[in-house]
Amino acid sequence: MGSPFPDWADAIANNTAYYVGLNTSFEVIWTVVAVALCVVALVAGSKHELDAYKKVEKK
Amino acid sequence: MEEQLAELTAKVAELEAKTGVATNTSFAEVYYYITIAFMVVIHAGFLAYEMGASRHKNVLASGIKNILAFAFVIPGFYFVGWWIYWAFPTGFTLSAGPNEISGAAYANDIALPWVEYMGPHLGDQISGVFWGAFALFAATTASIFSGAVIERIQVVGFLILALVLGAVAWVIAAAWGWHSDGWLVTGWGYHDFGAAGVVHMVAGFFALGVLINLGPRIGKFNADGSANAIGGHNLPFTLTGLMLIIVGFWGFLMACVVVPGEAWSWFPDKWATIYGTPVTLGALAFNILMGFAGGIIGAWMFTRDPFWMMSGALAGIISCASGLDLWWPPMAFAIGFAGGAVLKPAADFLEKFGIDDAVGAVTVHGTIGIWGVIACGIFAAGYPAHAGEGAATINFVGQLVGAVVMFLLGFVPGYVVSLVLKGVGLLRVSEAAEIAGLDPTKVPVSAYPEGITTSVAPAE
Repeated sequence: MGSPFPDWADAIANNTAYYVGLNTSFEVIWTVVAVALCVVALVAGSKHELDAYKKVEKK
Repeated sequence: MEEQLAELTAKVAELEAKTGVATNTSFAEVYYYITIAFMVVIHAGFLAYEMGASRHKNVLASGIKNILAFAFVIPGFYFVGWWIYWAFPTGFTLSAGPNEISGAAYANDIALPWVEYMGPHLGDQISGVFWGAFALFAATTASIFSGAVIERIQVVGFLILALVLGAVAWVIAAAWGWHSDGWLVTGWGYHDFGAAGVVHMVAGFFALGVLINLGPRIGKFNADGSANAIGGHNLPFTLTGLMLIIVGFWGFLMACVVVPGEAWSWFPDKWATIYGTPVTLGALAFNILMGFAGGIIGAWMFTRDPFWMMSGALAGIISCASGLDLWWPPMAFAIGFAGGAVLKPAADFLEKFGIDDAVGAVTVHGTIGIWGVIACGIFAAGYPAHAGEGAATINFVGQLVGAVVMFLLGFVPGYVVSLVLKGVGLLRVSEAAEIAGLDPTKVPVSAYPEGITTSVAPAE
């Protein structure tokens, strides 16, 4: 993804942000990915939990 | 009158400047001092973790082993480790590096156990606390290794191995990849801010080398090669220990930062990494927490098991560790999530080779450490890896070379020294002692003298 600057001098002089993906679409992409992972985990977690309850009821 | 006023103003300004310097120096000293206390919490965590993961008959023997590892590695690091760190950055030539803070001559001046900086010194308020923070890094490597070998290793054999790892092997890794003059850093652009390679990989693969010679616990594997789960006697204790390790990680990662404003600082007003690149404590706060959360959720999704979830927390932070100073926080979350998700499959894969890693240390620290180092090469390529003009940049090949070096610096000494110890009968306890339990065999007190009463069955 590359560095937003060739060396540290400018970032230091201007007190800028310096993270990976700065001022690129990757900021949004990674945020969407992180949100999606949370949602998928909740959906899968819910399925696992409800299946477990059903399994107990069948016994 | 005007002259007197000017003189007075100058004196006030001079006093203010001196007060500022003194305040900053005291702050720097206190800062590293606090990291030491935090890192002791890591050891409280490993102690609880290992004892909980041990069966009833081995609880205190595991505790003794862990406590002694800490006690022996600290003086070991004082005697040789600190000198190695400053002498070895440029490799085995022991020559000075570009920043002239390395090499045998420099190390002889500041880090030999008999020079004045290695004791209380009114003119040097930093060497002692720096040394203390590094000594705790060293002890952490031994604790990482310690959990993998519980319930069947001899104490003295274990301590010899802990000394080799904590006072020598990881220190060479740190000199090469965690020092601004390190040849991996200046030559290859290796970047490992939070020590995924120099601490976690080295300790994890050292454990692997030892486990090959040590062998599995009796009853771990069946004749057909399938594995049995050997549960510890107290999973809640293990989980609490893991959470304590996470608390201690804050101190560990705090100590990876260089305070500004001192003669030895990289910047007058900015925090820096150990490589001299700028960083903020905010970067640590964002990315430790996001990696931590991602690791737990990733492990939860694929295991539903609280042991692996808490191990996932560690895995999440270790996954993010190399680039912890650089990640965009949602990236840290996703990278940590991946680390947590692969944890259990990676541990199962290792078990297929007949390796009995009692607490998953090889996987959590070794395998996930590789992911942490490589992730930095994939996503953070292009950043200058260290201070100064013409600095090497972070790149995939450099991170790959670093990962191979870290693997070898852990695995080779672990394998070779444990093989020697096996040859002289100092590695494994006898079969009779292992079956009887190490506590009744050699510990003069009992963990639970009144026994443990079984509670009623669930749902009754």
